[in-house]
Amino acid sequence: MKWRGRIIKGALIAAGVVLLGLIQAGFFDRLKIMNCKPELVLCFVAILAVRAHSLRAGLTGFLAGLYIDIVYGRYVGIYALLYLVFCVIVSLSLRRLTDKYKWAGLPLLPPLFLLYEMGESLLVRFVAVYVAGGGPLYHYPYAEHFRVRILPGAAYNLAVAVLFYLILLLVVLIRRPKPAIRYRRDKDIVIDNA
Amino acid sequence: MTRKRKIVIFILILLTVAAAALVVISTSSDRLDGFFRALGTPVRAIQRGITKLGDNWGKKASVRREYDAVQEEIERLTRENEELRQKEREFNQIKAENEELRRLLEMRDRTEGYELLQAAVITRDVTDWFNEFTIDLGTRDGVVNGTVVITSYGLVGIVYNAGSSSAKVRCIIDEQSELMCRIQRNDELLRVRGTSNENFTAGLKADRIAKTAALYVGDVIVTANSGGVYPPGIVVGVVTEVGVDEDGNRFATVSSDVNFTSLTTVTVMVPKTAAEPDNK
Repeated sequence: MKWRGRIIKGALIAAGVVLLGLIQAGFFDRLKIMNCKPELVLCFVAILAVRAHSLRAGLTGFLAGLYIDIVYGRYVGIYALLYLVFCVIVSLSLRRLTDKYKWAGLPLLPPLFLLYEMGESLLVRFVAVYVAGGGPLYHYPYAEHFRVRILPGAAYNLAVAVLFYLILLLVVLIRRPKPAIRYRRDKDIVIDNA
Repeated sequence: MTRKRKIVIFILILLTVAAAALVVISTSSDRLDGFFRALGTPVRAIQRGITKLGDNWGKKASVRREYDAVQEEIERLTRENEELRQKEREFNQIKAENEELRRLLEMRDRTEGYELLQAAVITRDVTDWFNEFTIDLGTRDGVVNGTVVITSYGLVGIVYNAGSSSAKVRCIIDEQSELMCRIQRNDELLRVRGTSNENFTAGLKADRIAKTAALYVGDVIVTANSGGVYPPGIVVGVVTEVGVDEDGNRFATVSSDVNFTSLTTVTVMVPKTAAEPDNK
């Protein structure tokens, strides 16, 4: 039963990743703001990572990134690596907070997405320069790059992630277990979630 | 540290190393390209439908907001404007020839020996870091790696990863694209490269310009026969700026008339010998 539940959950996440990838490639070229479009798949796996154990979060991020690399990317592995690291960081920094206080994770999302955008920029530029056989990592001042590309990208991703976050909270609240009676070691009867 | 925690850390490190290894392998060789292309084929087939849906949705949305007529007018005026600019350039360069006839003649010369196939853009770069897109033609239609892609406004790019029913196209404005070109006015050779897309500023830059070559703003840059990849004479762009870098070498900024961000259909130049459908 436990495995069956895991398989169904995994299949649902995989379907969500594929669907969001399709939507992103099909529709979001028309929904750019300041030249940026959100990475729906990243936002999805990041929000899942908020409530997942770091191993599961990392594995989900790795597979989702690999999917992006294989279907849409030029070099395989870039987004697998980025999503893996990002999801592990999100899981490590937000999971326990979110378990205790439902909204506590929100203020931490902006710096995390900013960090992701900077990491993505750095890795992609590094690969581009490596493949080209050398050259400057950034042709423009980094401050300008930060203003033009990193900040709007992080903001757009953040907006979508917050939306996903709210949906996740809603799902968690709906699926909240009903009060159940259980025994503690001291044999007192306690009621959870009362 | 518990044993379970150690195992988790070990697996995460293993995944990170695997991802990094994939990056290194895919950037240094194309041995795994075929395998990954085959993996992505089913999703690309669905993507084709979704992208069409997206295109239709975009069009319907604009109809609803009564922008369609305005958009058409803008498009018509843009084309008209481009034609006028083109006519002006041609007039300045070759006064004796009629512009319309010349374009037709040039088109016939350029495309001789090629089958021109219309292709729809089914996937654009989802991350906006690489200037590339996927078209709905593949090896079954005669498209192979190295096939040239154009529009009526000029050169678009080259196929670098051809699958059986789809192919990835690298735009000429991509940082990794470089091609030998000529100044149309005096046939002088120069190299045109794509520029970095780090600030959404991908464009074209010309270098390796001979010291004796006369190059001015407004000069039309066309492909050269050098290398045999691109057919000669296809318009690449117009020089918008000429300058000198720190080393004292001349460079030029080239502006293409192709709007790379809103391509929906392109023309693929398949050599006539390869245009026969591959039934294998």
